[in-house]
Amino acid sequence: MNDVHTRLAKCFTAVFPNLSPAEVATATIASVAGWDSLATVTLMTVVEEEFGTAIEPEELEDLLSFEAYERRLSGESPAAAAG
Amino acid sequence: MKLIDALKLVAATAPAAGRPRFDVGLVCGFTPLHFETFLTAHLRQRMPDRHVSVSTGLFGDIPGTLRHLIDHPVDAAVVALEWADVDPRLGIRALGGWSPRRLPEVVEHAAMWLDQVLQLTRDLAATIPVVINLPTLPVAPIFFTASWQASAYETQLQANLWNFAAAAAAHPRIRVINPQRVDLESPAAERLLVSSTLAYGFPYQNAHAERLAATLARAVENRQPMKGVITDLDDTLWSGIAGDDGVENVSWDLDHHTQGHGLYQQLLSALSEAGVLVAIVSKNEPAVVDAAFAREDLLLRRERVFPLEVGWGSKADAVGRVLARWNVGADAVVFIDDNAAELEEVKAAHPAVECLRFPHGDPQAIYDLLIRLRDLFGRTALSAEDTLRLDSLREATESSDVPDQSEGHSEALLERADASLVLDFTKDANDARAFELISKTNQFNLNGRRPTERGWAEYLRDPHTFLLTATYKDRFGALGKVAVLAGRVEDSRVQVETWVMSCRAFSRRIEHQCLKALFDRFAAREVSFAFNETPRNGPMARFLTSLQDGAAGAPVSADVFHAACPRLFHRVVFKDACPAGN
Repeated sequence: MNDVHTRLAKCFTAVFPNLSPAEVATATIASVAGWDSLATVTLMTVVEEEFGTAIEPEELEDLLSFEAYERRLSGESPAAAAG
Repeated sequence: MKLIDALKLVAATAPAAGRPRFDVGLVCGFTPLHFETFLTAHLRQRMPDRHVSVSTGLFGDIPGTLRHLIDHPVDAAVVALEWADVDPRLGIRALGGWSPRRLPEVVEHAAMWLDQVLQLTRDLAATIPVVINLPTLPVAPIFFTASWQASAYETQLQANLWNFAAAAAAHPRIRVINPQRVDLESPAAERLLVSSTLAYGFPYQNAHAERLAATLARAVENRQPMKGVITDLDDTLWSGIAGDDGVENVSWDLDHHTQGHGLYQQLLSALSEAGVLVAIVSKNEPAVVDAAFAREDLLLRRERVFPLEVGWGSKADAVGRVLARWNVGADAVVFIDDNAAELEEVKAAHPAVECLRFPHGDPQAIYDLLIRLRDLFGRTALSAEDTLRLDSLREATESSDVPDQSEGHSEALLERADASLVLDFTKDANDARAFELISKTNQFNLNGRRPTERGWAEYLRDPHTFLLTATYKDRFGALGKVAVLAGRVEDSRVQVETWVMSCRAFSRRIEHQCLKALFDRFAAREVSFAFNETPRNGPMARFLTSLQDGAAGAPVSADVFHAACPRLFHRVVFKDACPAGN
């Protein structure tokens, strides 16, 4: 498991404390209770802090899953994961 | 604290059984987002003995949220203002027009809005403490001047805000955050986040949200200030070694480049006037120190210091003697010395004492120390009792040297003390001194319970409860309000649920007089006590067991009390109109 995956998992479990480790990698906005608009912004901010990166508000519509975030942070297009 | 840490802390400190709730209302015009998370995290960190929760109202409607809190009280409120709340045109989310012709109207509207919020905040502060933070973000570029020039309109706007702040700060339950402190902790250029303001209505950069939340949490907690400072002399209170250099050659002024020591003396003198105990612990010849304190230009006068522990013995032992004479806990005391070894010795012997090095020869560090001391000893307001503390302590210590003592004072001394007590049964929830005594007294404390201001006000509103306060003076001076009792009365039975008395008032039989007042006032057959042993309430336990054999807190009948009660010499004046049994 790579460093991005591990650090991103920490971000997800901080924002969604009820998420089990097994559920993190497959987490999506549809599968996680409590992933609402406020949680979307909170998750984005936690990820920005953790990875020292800036995520533009317009990117959020594609960042709807753990996989999408992982692709975005690895320099790939998150849209592929979202779609 | 990073946001991820704040989220983890909030998740890890979920409600737990047994911890009393402490509800905080967050009043702000913006979407609180991470600010609420940071505030919750800092409050829970500072108040681990309570379950703290933060609730918010309708974003964008500060007056409406204040009205809601007035009708649905919480334990404390935080009002975080920004210019966009004062008038939306002063922010960047509204497009109400920045026409120069409308500037007078903007200023006028701002004044009216601030007046409205001031009145609502005062109404809310009638029952709970309110912390107000003035705007921290810049005003939008609405004015026709360049940004480096303050226009008349902008300065008028600021004047309106400061008038609001001055009026709010004058209220005993409103704490206004000092913008200078916010400026020190959060650089102005690192506050506004335009993209987030526009996209989510959350205007703060994360670091600013975190620092501001930390400051506000400190104000909500409103920790009891330290009570005493023990200071060294040579190269601390003054520059130089009095015994070696000569008393006339030690200095604390601009001419000798030793002004920092003068500022330190000035601060200690001011702290003493505000009720802080100041003592000296110094390795010196007593005659040398006497000569130094005889200098007219010394800013900390001899009479402001008690006691002076001057000699060549261990400083740790000397600090121990000061603590015993003051009769205060070590955790309420600061020890200041320029010598790291002495600080280490005192810290090893008294781990709870806050030991700070006096940075002799470093003016900047001395200035920082002065700020630190202000923070440690800062008080929300001064009471009459604060100014009486030193005299009463000195008198109590000196009179306790009299032989043939009974409970600390001799029978003869008590008889000749010309003591008078004002016993007041008025249920005044706004009595700040009574609440302060309940909040900080440890030794003569029935059970260590510390109600919130809201809880205290609700308790006193209950028609079955009573409140008794005792104000004492004798021929040696006034002690002020020194004791508070509260409880319930039903069918000639009195249950005392709160009982605290200042340690300065020990050995004067005030506690007997208070209990006698309960028996007399309520024609009580029996008084019971909600006693609970705490690590520090031994004096209360000893008093209760002195009334009758058995466990502390067991009910005491009128007959048992009158048999156990020693002679009382006070002139007692009752001040209230509380009917018996009400």
